[in-house]
Amino acid sequence: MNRRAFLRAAGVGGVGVTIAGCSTGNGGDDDGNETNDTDTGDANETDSNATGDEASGDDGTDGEDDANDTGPNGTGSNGTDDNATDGANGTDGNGDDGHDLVVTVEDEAGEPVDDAIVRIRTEGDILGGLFGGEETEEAATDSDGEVVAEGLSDGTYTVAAESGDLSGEREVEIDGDSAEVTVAVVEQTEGRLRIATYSSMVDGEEPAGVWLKEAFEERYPDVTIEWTVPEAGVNHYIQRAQQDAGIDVDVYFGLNVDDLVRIDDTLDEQLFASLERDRVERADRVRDDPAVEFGDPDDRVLPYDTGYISLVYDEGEVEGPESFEDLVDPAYEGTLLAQNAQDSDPGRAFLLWTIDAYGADGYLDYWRELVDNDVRILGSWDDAYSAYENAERPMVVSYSTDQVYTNRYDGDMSRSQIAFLEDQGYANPEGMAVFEGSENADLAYAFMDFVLSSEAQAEIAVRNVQFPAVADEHVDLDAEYDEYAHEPPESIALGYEELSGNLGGWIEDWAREIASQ
Amino acid sequence: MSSRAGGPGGRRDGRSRRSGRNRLRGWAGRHALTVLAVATAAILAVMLYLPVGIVFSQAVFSEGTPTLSAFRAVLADPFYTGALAGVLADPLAIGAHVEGVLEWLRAGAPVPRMGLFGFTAYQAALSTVASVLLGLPAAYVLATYEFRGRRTIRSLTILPFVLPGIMVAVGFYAMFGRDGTLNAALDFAGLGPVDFIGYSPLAVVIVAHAFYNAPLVARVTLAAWESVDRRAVETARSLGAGPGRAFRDVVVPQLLPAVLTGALLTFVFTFMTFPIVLALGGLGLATVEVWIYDRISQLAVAEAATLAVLETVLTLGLTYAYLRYESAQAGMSRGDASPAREPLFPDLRTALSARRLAVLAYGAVAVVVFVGPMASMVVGGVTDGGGFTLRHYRFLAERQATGAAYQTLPWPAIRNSLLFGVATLAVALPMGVTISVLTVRSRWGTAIDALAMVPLAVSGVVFGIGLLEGLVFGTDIGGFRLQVTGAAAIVAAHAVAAYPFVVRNVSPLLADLDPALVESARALGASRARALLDVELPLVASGIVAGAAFAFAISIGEFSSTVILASGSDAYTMPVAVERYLGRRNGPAIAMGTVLLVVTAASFVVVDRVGGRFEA
Amino acid sequence: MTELALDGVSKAYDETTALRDVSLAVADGEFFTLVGPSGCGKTTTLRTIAGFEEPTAGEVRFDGESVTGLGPEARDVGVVFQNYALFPHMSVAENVGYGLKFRDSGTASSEARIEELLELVDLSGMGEREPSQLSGGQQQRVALARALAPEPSLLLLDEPMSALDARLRESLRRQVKRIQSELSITTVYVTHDQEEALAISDRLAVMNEGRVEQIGTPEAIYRRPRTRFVAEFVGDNNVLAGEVRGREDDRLRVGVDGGEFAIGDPVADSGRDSGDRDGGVESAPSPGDRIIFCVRPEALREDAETNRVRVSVEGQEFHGESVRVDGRWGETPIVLRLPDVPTHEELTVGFEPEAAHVVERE
Repeated sequence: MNRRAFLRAAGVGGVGVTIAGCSTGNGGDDDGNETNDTDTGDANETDSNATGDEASGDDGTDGEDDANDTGPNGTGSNGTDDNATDGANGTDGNGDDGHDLVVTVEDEAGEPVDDAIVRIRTEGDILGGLFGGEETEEAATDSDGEVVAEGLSDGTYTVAAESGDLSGEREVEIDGDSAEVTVAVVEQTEGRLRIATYSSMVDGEEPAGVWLKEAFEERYPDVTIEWTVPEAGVNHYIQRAQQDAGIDVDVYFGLNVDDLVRIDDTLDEQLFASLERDRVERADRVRDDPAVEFGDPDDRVLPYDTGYISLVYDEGEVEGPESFEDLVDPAYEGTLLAQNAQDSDPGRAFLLWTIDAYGADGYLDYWRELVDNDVRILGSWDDAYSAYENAERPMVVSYSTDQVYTNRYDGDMSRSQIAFLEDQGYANPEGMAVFEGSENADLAYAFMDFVLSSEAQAEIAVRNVQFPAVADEHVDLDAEYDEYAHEPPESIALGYEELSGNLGGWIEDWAREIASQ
Repeated sequence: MSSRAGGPGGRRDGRSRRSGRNRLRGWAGRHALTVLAVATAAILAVMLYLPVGIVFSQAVFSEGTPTLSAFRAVLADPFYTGALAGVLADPLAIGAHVEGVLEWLRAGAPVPRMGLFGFTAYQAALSTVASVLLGLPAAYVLATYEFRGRRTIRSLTILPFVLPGIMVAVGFYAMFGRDGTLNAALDFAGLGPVDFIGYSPLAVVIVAHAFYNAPLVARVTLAAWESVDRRAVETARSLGAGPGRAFRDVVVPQLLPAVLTGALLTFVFTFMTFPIVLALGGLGLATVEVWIYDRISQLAVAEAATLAVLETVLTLGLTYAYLRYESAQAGMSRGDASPAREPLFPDLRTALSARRLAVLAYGAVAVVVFVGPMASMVVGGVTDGGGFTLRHYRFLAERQATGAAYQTLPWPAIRNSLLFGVATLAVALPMGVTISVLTVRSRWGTAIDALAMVPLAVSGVVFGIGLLEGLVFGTDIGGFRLQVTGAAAIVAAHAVAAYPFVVRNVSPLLADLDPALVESARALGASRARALLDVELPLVASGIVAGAAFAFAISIGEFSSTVILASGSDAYTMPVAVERYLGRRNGPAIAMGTVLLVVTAASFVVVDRVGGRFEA
Repeated sequence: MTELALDGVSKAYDETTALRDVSLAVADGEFFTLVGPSGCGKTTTLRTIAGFEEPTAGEVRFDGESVTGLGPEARDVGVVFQNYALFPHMSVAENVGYGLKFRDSGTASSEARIEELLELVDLSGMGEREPSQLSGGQQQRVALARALAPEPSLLLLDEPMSALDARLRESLRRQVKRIQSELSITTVYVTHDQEEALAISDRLAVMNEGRVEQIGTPEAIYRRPRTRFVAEFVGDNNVLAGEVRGREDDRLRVGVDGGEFAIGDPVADSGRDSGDRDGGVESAPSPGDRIIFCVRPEALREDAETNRVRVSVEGQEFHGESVRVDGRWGETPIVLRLPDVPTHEELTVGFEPEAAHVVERE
């Protein structure tokens, strides 16, 4: 899945890409082809993940493919680029040399740009004689933003487009068939954007960070993104601020609400700048849902994804609990694994969930009952899940997207059942913010805008196995994802205001209760 | 024989005629020990005392003014000190305390509340006992019997010591879990599944501690066992003592200091245990270190520092007490003749004797406790939900082949671990030997020795924060900003963590050395350093080799300092890579952990073989 | 070779004083012994000469030049320890050759020198052995060879024989003496065995509690002890205290509990000793003075006519050429050396007035 999505990356939403056709000859394969799988025409993507679509689209059903194509295609859909292409590919079918290349030029919003100058290079040399038989080295797009280059032999080309101040480039490969390419012209900025994040963004199996960097840098060829992963996370920067040690990072990618609380508890001055929302065009795409709300009075954080904490259980051993009271019922004695709220996100989320349910005055009593009912509170999510995997207990506090992993790793789905207590799930949004004092605010906002694009949102969701922050109409997740990633009917999340000043105390009271000897 | 002109005067003239290079060498020889001592002190000052001082001082200074209020708050809190809280809150209210004790007795003397510190000490004591009980038989078998693979097993005993906590937790669940290997074996034998882990979380944690530390006890004891002078045993036998009696009277006194060293180290380590407790036991078994970690995560550094200071005072105090005992031990001269080993299974009849059967029984236990989790770990690296798979290793290979420079790649991690390990040896061995030489026969020796053990007695997480605040962020020292990061800092941090092991292995042997040997060398013209090199070091070689093995192990397994100093650079090591590969499914991390296991095992075998050539 | 001088050397540790104002001089090529009971400071003196200890007061001089502050490796001394301190991890040849490494000689000449020394101590051909394979006496000889190999100016030996049996001790000390005189190397030898000291030294110093009691030739020490301690420490002796009753000619009449003796006038027969120790008697004792005098056991003879006393026999040791007899005269223990085993339980012995030696005033 990642590979396909990665390739698809070449066409980021709005930027469209898609490199169509080529060898497949089926045409209609929008996916990234380039590589390999496409050859097969259908299953393409080697791996298993994603699945779902594979079968669907590709074979022949050009028109629709898009629909399936799993991942992000472009805004509005698959439809866009692909369609256009469909027409184009397959059919051209000329032979090997002298293929056509249909170039579409769009702006950032996805609108076609007319009268944009298009040039085609190969290995640095601008090619001439490509456009409608004329000897010129460049051509202008029509009112649909298109221009056709003819007579291209197999190889790799760089298509450059310019329109006033805006410009853009894209690489395309001709391999035995006609091709299409869409080039987005954007305001070119240059510079180095330093982004701090957590390790799985960069080192995980499907690291979203890697994709984001490549895709963003492709859009903005003069920009370099530098990822940095401090071991202590945000605390690293809080401490630097405390010690006046200087912060040379521009963006923090991966903030939770409690991070904000801790920052404000510790520092007098602002670590992050309040968002200038007008600099983020897509900011209003964020959905109106407590699941992605931070509730920050200083409005510093823009969410990019969210996840839900729920219970994961083995349906062969235990019945899915429906309420908190179920958990303290003798029927569920000794069945639950939870995590240490001091340190673990799910652990803390679950604790806050119980505080939401029983109030700040009642949650400790509830936990005493849980302890009496033999709940086992281990350290991190890993610890608890390892225990769960080895059948220590039939229930564990975890993420509602658990089945996505189970599917990916060929696990036993019956042991990956999701239970939403009280039909709720506790939401844990993740967001990004710009450091106060960063000199690259321009780039930072451009990046944040990019993160909220359809394609990026889809990639992030799938790679992080989370849910997008933008409203449904602005992102497309494929059916596999929908099937396995469950959203709770209602999402609960305590925001900044409720946590500020209280969170530390709640966690400490709770921890002392549990750890008292 | 010709008579010579002039005594010392004549000789001094002769010496000044020597070349400049010789003179430099002469200067270096005379002052080598001083130079080494200064270098050691400098490294310790920058890499140990500065970071630790920065954090500890926050326990005592609140906004610039010194205060003990933080300590009072902790000591008077029953959560931390249990039943002693009342006494510590107001030590002088003797009357109230006596009344309290009487009341307690009247109530039937129920088990008093331990508090966090009490519980931590309690589980550490149990863990120490378990480690000694599991480790001594291993030393016995390796010292007494000869069997195929003995040398390799001996080299590998220290392997569990370097494994990251995550791996051990995974291994334990995989081995002892309801769905684990042991239960699978029991199932095969028709016995029902047993809930090993659920039965007593405390017991599991203690066994996990023993997993880590029994090898330490075994290794240290084994080194001493192999130095026992056979002639002393023979003398005892000739005087009428039976084998058991001779063992008890002659061998045990020589082993006791080593066993106690192992026990002390185990107690200190398990007192400061952290990830394993939460991973296997849960928050209900929290130790002081868990709280320190939490306070640091909440950036409540002052509170963390207070707890850390108390923790260090306790462990250092214990260490000092032990060192007093060790220095009071009359040195038994090291024998050249170590006891011969007997073959383990020479024939069927011997194989069935009670002693051999007991050895076999212990072997089975060792396999279950030590090999089991490690093997289960390895199996975990080639499994996923669907059974056998190589995808995790494929991930590692792909990451290595196609990963970007800012990602964590497997090969640099392996290469760095090995390089840092060797570099650590190069730094920690001279450091440790220098300290041993300086403390062995000096008046302040015991106190300096205890201070030299500080790296063992300080919380890893606190040390990490100190490194971060002091060295990574930089410290202003009189206008000069001191910043130390990168590979050199990592090696120095590893050396600082490792040298106490060198000292602990070399000092006892050095103390036993006849001072007349060094004096003879010096009278014959050797400088202090030359005498050290020619006479002392060869005679304590076995201690140096043992210390080297530990130092290497410490370096390979070091995590908390490395992860901070490697942040943002490509100086990461294997344990750091394991942690970074941890995702929602731990397959890739386990695969990396297996790589760590294999690479480390191979290294130990090499270190031991190389070292073996230096030993006698 | 070298002249050694100690000038007012004192050595104090925290709570104890090991040496008090020790002064002595050793001539070039002389075999000088420090003898005394355990704890008397003889080993400390030796270590101070070697440079293992620095004096807290006073000076050590080699050939008139102070060596204060010089480490042992710079003093050019050869040391043989009580337990030999052979390097167990080196062969005999490597041990012997160790000191040669710090002289700029080449390998060939080193090898030759090692051979030369092994021959000197009668251990030719044993170069490849390990110290653990040698007997005590052999180890001691290797230690000696090792100390001598670098041609030191001074040879220091710290009770090298104490770990050996009596027979071996005797033959080895003769060997050491022979080598020493052959090489003419200035030697300081430490022992607690006064008999050994008397046997091999050119001169010796008797030490007690950090002080030098007396320095002199073996004969002077033996015959004319200048302090009670020396009189009692060196050899068997009968030490008596008494009051001078009068002087006749060159005889003193001394009254002792139970009797009166006529002994030689000390001033009249005092010899010239080197070693300037207080004690002894420079001026003639007058009537009324209390003095200490001694009579060697061998001077008490049955056939002497003066100063006769009756001694009861309590024990005896047969020594071949003589018999040592423990007896008692009244309350006073008396030691005799008789040519034959006594036949009765009581004997009468006496001594010539010249055989008695006035040690010091009380």
